[in-house]
Amino acid sequence: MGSMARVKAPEVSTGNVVRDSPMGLVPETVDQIANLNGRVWEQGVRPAVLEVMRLRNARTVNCVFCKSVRYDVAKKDGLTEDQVAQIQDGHQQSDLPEEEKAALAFADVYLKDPKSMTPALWTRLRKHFTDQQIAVMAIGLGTFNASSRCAVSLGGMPEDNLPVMEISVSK
Amino acid sequence: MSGQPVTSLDIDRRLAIAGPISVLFQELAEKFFDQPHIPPDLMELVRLDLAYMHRSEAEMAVRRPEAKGLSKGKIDAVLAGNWHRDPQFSDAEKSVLNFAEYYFVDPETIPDEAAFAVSRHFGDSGLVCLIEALGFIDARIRLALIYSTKET
Repeated sequence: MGSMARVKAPEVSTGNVVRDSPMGLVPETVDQIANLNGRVWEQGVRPAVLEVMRLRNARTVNCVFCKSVRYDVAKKDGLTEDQVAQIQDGHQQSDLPEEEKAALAFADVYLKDPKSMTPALWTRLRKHFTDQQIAVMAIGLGTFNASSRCAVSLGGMPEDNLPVMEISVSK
Repeated sequence: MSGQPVTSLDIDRRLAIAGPISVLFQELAEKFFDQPHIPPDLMELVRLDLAYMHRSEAEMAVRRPEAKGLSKGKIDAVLAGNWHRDPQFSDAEKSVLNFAEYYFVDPETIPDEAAFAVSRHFGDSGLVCLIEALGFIDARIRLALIYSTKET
């Protein structure tokens, strides 16, 4: 892993974590990426479901920043730290709600081997979610994963875990 | 789900049901092929390299329309995994493809030299643009593979 940051962020502060990162150096795409990261939470999928997928991604990619974050909307939706602790290998045998276990199974297929998607998992997802919600979750996974991998690729990631930090969704 | 192969070029038809956010997702993909930092022909080679590494036959068989000047020789070399020592490729192109392959395996494995090689040829904004593009092109390929699976 790159121990030092490979690119300096722009010297402006907008208050948006995406726009204030080195991604701000690419004005052609930064607004779209910031909007995707913000608006995915407002598309009819429970924030707790999106958050377990986001954290599964963060832990798989090992993005230290992403792992430390908790979105306030997910906590308000009932996600607890006890549940967050269960977002690890073996999550299908955890006490997490079935809806969240299905979302985690979807996340693992995306993250580990997208060719391993099965008809049975489609059926399982449809027991808990509409096709619209599944498509939002798919876009969310893509956005979370691209963002985490971007953070790691830019270098300068802390080696040790950071304290948990609750934040609001950036608009 | 039809079970017909889906690719990063037409995944938006499957995701459209998500509503307005699917438009953002599609527009972002198009912007990576219409920006001043990395040429569209090279970005297409990146997509094809990701397709090769995912072993996605459907993805390897399609071409982005923005890549108008890309030679068949370069496409064939990338799809065969043989670009590394191929004299058709410039050092700049090789720096990007090399970075892409580390990224695909695991971004934590990217050596500083691989990142700085991209920056030397395309600047810091080029490196950031490449990293973003890798994330969202890879996302579209992954989702295309998932949506290609036939539902019962």
